[in-house]
Amino acid sequence: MTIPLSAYLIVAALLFGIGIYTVVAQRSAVMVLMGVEVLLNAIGLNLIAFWRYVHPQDYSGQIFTILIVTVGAIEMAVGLAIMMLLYRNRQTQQVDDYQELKG
Amino acid sequence: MVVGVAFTFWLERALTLAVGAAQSLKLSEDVVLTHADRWMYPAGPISALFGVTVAAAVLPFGPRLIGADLGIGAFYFIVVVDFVVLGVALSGWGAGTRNAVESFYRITAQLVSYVIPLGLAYVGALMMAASLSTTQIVEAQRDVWFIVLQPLGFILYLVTGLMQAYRAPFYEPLSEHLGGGFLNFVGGWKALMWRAALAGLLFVISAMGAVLYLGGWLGPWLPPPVWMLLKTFALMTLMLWLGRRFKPLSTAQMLSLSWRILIPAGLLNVLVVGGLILAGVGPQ
Amino acid sequence: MMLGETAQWVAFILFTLLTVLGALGMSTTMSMFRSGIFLMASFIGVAGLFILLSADLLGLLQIMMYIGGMLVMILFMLLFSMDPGGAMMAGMDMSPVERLFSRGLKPQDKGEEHSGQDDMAGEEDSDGEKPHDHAAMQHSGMKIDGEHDHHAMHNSDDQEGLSEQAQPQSHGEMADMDMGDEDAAHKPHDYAAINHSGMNHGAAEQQMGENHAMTHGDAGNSPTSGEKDCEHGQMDHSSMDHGDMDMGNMDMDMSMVTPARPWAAAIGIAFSAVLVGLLLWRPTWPVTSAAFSTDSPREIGMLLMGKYMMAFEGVGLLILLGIFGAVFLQRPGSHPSDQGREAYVTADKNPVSIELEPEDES
Repeated sequence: MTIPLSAYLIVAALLFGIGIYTVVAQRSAVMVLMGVEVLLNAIGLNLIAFWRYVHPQDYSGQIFTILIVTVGAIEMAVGLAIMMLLYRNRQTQQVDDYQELKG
Repeated sequence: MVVGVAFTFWLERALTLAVGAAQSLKLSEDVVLTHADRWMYPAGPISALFGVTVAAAVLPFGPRLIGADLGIGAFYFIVVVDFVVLGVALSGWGAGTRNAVESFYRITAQLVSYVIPLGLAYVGALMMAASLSTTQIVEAQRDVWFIVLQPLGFILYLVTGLMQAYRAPFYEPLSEHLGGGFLNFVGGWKALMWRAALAGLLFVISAMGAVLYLGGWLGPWLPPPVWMLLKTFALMTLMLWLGRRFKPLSTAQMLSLSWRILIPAGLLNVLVVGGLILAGVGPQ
Repeated sequence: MMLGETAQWVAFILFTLLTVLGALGMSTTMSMFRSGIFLMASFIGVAGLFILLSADLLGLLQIMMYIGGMLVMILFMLLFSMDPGGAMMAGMDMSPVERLFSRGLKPQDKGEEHSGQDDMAGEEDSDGEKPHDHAAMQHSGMKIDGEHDHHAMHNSDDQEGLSEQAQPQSHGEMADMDMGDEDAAHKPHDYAAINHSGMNHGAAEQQMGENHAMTHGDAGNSPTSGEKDCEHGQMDHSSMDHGDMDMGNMDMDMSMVTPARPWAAAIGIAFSAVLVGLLLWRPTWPVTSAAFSTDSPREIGMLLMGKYMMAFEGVGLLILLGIFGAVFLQRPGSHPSDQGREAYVTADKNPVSIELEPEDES
């Protein structure tokens, strides 16, 4: 408990900022997916920090993070599958070229 | 650990196994790859050796003879051994040669094929022991070893352990078809580290098999560490000998073996173990 | 106690650095492989922070999921991207951050361009293959690009023409170019050697020394070519992946980032700044120092199987759906340009040396 809670939260905030930058700035769809993973990780870090410092007796915080990690894995799998399908159709992986998906 | 690696190496030599190009590493001369990645290429063997060494910390050689008795020892072991694959990835891509990259691809495919059945093989033993701690897993086998109760899980562990250790018949990523894969291009201290890492990998995997299914250090008359080492090397010999009996599999065959046979077998094993526990068989 | 506190702080700072620098490197490096590795480092840092927060099971879970997951993701990136090694980008203008994280990547200088062509020339006169089967070969392990997906990239047609024209010339001048290469000053270049040895069937000839002796341009260049038989692996990423992309497309818009990058950076920095500012502004939280059970596997297991049973099952179902969905989307033959299932299944029945018959299966 020597490290204050705010320290962890600041790390998570920095991670979140980098994730946002990646999602907005990157062109390649895989990189966008990776940015989303960073975002999810920042959230997980926040959850665990709050669990540890505020409610350590109740392990529900960890359960939430487990669910987030799982959802991250699903997102990765389905995202990659969709991306591969798009790649086969369009022969490109740049998100700019997926414009007509806007609907 | 060092003794274990040395003996593993000797055992492999003694059995004259086809472990791909691992035997032909050039220790005396360093290989200079002008297009290797300066940072990632040397990081590979370091990562692999780190994984193996750190994994050895949870192997119990006696009631108190253990590096760190973690509450989640078995899970820790599975996780940390993955660093070897990471090392292969770093080294394979970092070398920047065709064969090395190809072997990195195939080793990743092999990871995908072994990781689920390996987890299922662990789950059987863990369910019976009702603990993740390696010492408690051994203590739970004081009456009867788990190999007696769940032979299917043991066979599963044999197969997936061989896959994880890249030994015959699952050495395709390092085989001569790929010119030895990433191992063909290492030399000097990196080759030494790779040798140690691969031999140590086999050692820790056999030791974990002994812990999970053969009762670890338990045994009459002899002191515990001797029993542990004996079981480890007996299991290693069995694995290597059995591996030699089969034709080497390609990556695609490994994947289909994994999905068609090993994963259903693992699920069946988990079901059987659950039934046994419900029936009151095994440690209470 | 003092020591413990110091150790905790040291570990915290180390893991924080790993996390933040890893994420930053992931976002800014030019090489896609590196960005995957950086992201993995970042996740391992987060896992370390989890373990510091005494959520050890979760930290290990994180490492396990992401080492495997990221390796697969890296594979996808290598398959899809034009320039996974970042060799093409490395020579271009970069911001200081990008340069920092892309250090050590080999830019494509003139010499390497030529050697890329030497590669092609070697292939060409060996068995008349197309110049870009480097790309094909690299991917053939995954059996995805039977159709040479790389061809479809933007202006590869003109480039084929271009490089094929350039080949006879470069072939003839190979010796000179090897000399002219920057790296050749201290290390003999065996680009051609690797190609020819690749074609020279058989494990018996894996002793590369012989092959070196046979290759042209080598004997003159390297006085120690007999000794240095280990240096047979000298192919850079660029020539390996994208031999067909070497020339003429440097003016193409290949940047990995969108034009909106300054805006993105501003948004990211602003977000972080606001969050950090808020955190500093309100530094007190209702922190408790209550004792708690450290047997996390048991606690988590009890919760997962008890209180959160339905959520757990729901996520399990979601994973199952995800697997089925991914498999369904990816089933071979679902696209007209696919070769159908047979090609995928039979392609890797027998281990085939990629050196012997590079093209025979696809």
